[in-house]
Amino acid sequence: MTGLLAILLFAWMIGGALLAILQRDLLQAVVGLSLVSLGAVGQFFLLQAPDVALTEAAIGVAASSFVLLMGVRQLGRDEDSK
Amino acid sequence: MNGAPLRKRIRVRPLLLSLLCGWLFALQAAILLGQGRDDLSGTVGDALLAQAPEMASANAVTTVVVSYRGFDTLGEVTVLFLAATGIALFFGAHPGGRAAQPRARRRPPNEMMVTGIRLLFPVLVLFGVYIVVHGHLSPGGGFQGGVVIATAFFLRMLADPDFLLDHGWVRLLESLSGSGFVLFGLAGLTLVATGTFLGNFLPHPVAAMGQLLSAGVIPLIYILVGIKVGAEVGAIFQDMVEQAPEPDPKQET
Repeated sequence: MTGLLAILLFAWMIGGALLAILQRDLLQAVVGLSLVSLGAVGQFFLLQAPDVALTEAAIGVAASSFVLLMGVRQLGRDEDSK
Repeated sequence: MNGAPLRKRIRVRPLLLSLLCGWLFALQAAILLGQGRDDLSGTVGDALLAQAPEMASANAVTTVVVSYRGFDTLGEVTVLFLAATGIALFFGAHPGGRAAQPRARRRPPNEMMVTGIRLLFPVLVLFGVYIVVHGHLSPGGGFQGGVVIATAFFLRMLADPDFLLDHGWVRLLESLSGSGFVLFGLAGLTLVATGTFLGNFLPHPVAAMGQLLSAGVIPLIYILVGIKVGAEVGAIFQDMVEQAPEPDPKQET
């Protein structure tokens, strides 16, 4: 069961990374990065490290996405516009 | 200072730098390989886990982070402080009075976000305070709770363009909690009973393990760390929000 969940989370993280790389819309790319961090939260939890999972949730999912969103806001959403 | 030695110096310096980097890398690799063979890390973790109950903190990770490795935590908080200072310098370095009224020009945020954040803000702050205060009992602690509180204030800044953190208060909170951390450490160093930096000089009976008032000095230090991290990350967020220009290219957010 745990192994199946881990594999599902790996697939989730790879999907999020692909979204972040392939998406032309930078806002969606930031969402993809955030999904990778969310998968990492699940992985840390499965590895019985709830402290690290909480840190990843606070910093990886929320704070770093916010910082990147601020950048997207200043530079524009379209990758080709710059 | 004529031209020729300057050119020479510029050519020599990268060479020295790369030599230094290569030497450091070789050293690091040698140390890592040597440690991997002896399986050192496993025994250290087991020893710390076996020793952790003496601090009467239900969460062994917190015992390590705040007590055994408290000096490292002080260093991490200092690094975060330096990062916040650098970002404030970087983003605050616009000439003229551009910072005077940059946020008022922005399009007002939409109603759904304002209402949702009004609902979410107190819950997030309460959750952050809970994580900080229960750092010695459950997973989490000062770093995580501080970032959650700063995130709540960031959402508030997005929803309400007039909402601003007072820089003076943020700086005061940050320096007070930072000095408090060092003072706790020095108190542990000077008192005879402990004699080590960040020693646990308050009573911490093992019988009280699992209660809110337990583990002596650990929850107090973690609360100070939470205040400091929250103030620093909040200041970083605020610097970035203040810098945002008028919304011609963006659609929403």
